[in-house]
Amino acid sequence: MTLYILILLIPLLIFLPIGAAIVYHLRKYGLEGDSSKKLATIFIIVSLAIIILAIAAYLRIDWTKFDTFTFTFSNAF
Amino acid sequence: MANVSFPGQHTGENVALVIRRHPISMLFYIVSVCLIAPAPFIFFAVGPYFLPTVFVSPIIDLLILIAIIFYLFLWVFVYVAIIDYYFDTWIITNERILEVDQKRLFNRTVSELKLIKIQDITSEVPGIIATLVGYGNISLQSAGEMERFEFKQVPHPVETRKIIVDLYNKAVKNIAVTGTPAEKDSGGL
Repeated sequence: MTLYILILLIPLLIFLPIGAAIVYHLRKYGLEGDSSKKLATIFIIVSLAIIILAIAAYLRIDWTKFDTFTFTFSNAF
Repeated sequence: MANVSFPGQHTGENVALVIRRHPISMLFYIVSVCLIAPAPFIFFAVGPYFLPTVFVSPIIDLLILIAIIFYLFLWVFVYVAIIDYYFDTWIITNERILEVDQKRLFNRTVSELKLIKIQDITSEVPGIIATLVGYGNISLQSAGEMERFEFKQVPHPVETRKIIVDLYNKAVKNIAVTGTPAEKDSGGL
């Protein structure tokens, strides 16, 4: 059960530094008066929304049933 | 004059134009995203007909989670492409031309050319698509340097060239009247 959290954690740990680099670039290198700060805000909001969706999807899964997962999945083929 | 300013701008220096590549240069990314983005929806729509035993709980819930993570990384891909496009900029002021070349996230080059050092300026509209869409290349040859300053795939190349020529003429006149322009640098991009 506890190992299943890695399905969510590993992508998030990969995403976070890349996301931080994107926001850093947009905030640091944008020109005064252009849209880079707005782009950074949009990026943060949409990323947070997707992450919340991912957490919700993760919590929705009944991980206790996953003992039968391998069996069902292999039977599918 | 464009209503923007940038770090390292000299006092009395006005931004005349900020040029980015024509959006057509993003065509590869746009087509890629348009092709990739609907893939999970197609998978969820078609999948149950071909793999009915897989599309049951909790496997379907896991697939939904994987699809959401897929969209998270697609979102990053889109933004890396946006940064590559948006920060590839040419800033034309009444004193100089700054070329900011953003190659992916951590590779950034800034070059500068004084207007008065321009010796030759050429605009080029290469081919039918460029003519129809309205983009082209501009190349500048500066005095004493072999390397050319190039604006690639920029919109309205002819008009931009005319603006640069006007700014060059004004800069030369200004020097004739006031002498060498002051070069106060307060940092940089």
